[in-house]
Amino acid sequence: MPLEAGHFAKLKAHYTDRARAMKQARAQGGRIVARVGSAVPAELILAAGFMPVLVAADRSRAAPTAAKYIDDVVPPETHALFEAAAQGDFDEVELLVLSRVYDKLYFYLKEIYRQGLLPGLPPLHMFDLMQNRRAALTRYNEDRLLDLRLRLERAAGAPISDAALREAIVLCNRARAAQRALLDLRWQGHIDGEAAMQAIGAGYFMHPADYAEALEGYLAQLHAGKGAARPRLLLATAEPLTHTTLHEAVERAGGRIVAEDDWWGARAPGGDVSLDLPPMEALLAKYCFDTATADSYPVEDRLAWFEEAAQRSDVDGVIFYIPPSDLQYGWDYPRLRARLQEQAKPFLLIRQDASTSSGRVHLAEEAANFIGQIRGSRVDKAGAAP
Amino acid sequence: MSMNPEDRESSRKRHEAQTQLDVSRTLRAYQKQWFANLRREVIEEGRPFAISGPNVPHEIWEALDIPFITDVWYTGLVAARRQSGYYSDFLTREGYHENLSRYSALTWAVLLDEENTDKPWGGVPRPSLVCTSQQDRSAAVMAARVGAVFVPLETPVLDKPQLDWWKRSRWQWEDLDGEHRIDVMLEQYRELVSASEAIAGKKLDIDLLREIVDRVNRQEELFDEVRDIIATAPKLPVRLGEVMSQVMGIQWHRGTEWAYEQARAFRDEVKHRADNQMWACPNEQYRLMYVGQGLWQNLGFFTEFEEKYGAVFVRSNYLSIAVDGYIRYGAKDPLRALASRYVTMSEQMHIPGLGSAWAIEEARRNRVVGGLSIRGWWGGKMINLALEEEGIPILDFPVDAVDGNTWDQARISALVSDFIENRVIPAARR
Repeated sequence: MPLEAGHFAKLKAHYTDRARAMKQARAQGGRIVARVGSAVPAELILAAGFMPVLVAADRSRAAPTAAKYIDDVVPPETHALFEAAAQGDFDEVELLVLSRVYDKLYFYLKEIYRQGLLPGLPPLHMFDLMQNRRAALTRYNEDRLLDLRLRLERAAGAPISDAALREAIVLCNRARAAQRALLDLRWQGHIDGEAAMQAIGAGYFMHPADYAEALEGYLAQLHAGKGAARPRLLLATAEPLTHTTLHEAVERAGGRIVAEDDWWGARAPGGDVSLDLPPMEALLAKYCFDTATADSYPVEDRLAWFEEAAQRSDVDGVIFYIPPSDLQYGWDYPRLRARLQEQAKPFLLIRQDASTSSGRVHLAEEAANFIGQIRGSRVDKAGAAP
Repeated sequence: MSMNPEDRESSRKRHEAQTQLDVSRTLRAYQKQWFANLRREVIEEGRPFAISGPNVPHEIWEALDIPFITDVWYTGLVAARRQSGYYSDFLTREGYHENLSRYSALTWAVLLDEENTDKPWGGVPRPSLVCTSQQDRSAAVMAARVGAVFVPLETPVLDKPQLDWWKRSRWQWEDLDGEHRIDVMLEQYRELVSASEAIAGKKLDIDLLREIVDRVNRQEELFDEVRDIIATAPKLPVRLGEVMSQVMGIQWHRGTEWAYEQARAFRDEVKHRADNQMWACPNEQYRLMYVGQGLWQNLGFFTEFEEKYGAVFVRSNYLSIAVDGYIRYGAKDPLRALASRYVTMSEQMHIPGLGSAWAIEEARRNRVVGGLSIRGWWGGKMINLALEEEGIPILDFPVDAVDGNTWDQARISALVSDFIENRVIPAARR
């Protein structure tokens, strides 16, 4: 069966039309709790009887309301999410749970609502989990997770049972396991980066049971063929990859992105939520220390992952995407660049904004040149071999 | 933009001619001597030294007698010396792209640049300890580069913002800041105390810390008097550039006896000038305010508009946040009072709703008819919109607060003139 049909088609459809699953659930009387950011536990939302749906920034959409209120120094992702709220995208949602890195969005939404300008906005909950291993933060984080649980129980009108929570954890772990299997196959060259991004990203919008089933079905089809040998590239990004623009450009130019340091791609699943610990403790460990997020948290863990991936012998080069809106990642870039230089690993820095047409043109040119250089170097090495 | 020695001498003379306060001279003299002593103690005597971000409880270091500087204070020095462009370019050459904030990072550029020996006041010694907000990634990276211990502070999100925060901050701070938020700051401060004690080689004296925290309260009360004099005097008794330099020069030493005495001398001199009708601009016509950051790279720039239009700048965030943000009364535990003092420090000037409500209150208090907002201040648009709705025109000022590379004298002069002529004057006449 062609990959465009069947399971992959379903995943791609949900990745592309991100409100699709939410609308279907609403049509069937389902109740929705939306998450802003990856660090909001879907397990708790499921266990409370809601369908968890991520709200994602659509940078291709004009954002006139955001431009009126929000400063340019605030990340473009926040502009896009604010615009979605202003356009009524969240009106069907019962509760909007925002993670720590979206604090500015929380403040803007709260104030505009106070001014009476967003009457359809659902109630907001700030889930301020500090993704850091320091002991000084443990109690605060435990209380934040408990607060979220109580908030969800209040919204549901019923307590969350341990059995329901455990069931939700098992279900989400099943989806994570399927994602990890996908990533393994991707490293082996069985799937392009763009398709992988779509297959992974769909999980943020679908019900975990539907998603796990679709992804497992897709994986079963994937063993059929292996792609042609192309330069294998690692992508490091300063902003969340809510789109596949970079993957499309790089793969059209003849490369293959085998992994990306981003929660929309290879960093999505991480490990499982432990079933050996009490559920709340297990969730805290997972979301504090093993959940990649939009900012550099936990910074050292993120950099360690990148360095380990970059030094793999089956990674031919690294692309850094650091658009002008970056305010943080650029401080780490020189150090990461130096490590690559020490290893003689080719790298490319993209500074143009890939969401603009001129940025995309530049990206295509730079990617083609970079991939050409890697190919040329391979030929040189082959020629120089004894 | 950078200056040669002749330019610098000429700038110094120009600055001296514009200086109206004796305390501006005593402040500068003290700071130079203090910094020379600090350099000597650190470089020659090997004393451990710390660098902090602006919202760090350096009262703890005062109590432990650890020499320290605040990164943004030194960045201000770099900017005032017109070396911000040079050091911004240095960071770019090091690979830190030009969109990354230079506000605190210029201090590190001076430290890392080993080629240029012409450094503000001799340059910054290598620190043993660095403490900033976790969100300030530059400090973490730079601390690692120089091998310093880094203590990051995670700031809890203000989940229940209260619009009239400045009315509650002195006595109702447990309610205002939230017990859970204060608790987590307190836990982190205990970590900072441990790291600092290890550097200092002694234990923190909590009674001494209490004295220091209380002395900061009394210093800010003096600033409160200054704000009141400026707001209620018939005309402006002291130029804003001098007020900003004075306030921040004292704030970076808050808690010391010197800071308290300097604040008192400042209050006395401003009061004397107001009592004796010694106005900054006798032809004062229009009162303007800064919204957000101050123009640290060129504090004297706006003086030219006094002569041309009778336009004076009367208000900035710096004096007002000292008055409204720092004072904490009734603390049983001084460390807890510090946790409350800093848990929302600076954010209350940005957060939509909070920043606007405060700016409107300040505009009314200071009888301003227009304002200037330096771009790059998150929350600035909401504040500007709120002020415009109150009938106060705001100029969106397209320069960086400290980076001299963004400065174009002719274009910026024309922009401000146009704003005063076409927005401020008509608004004032209405």
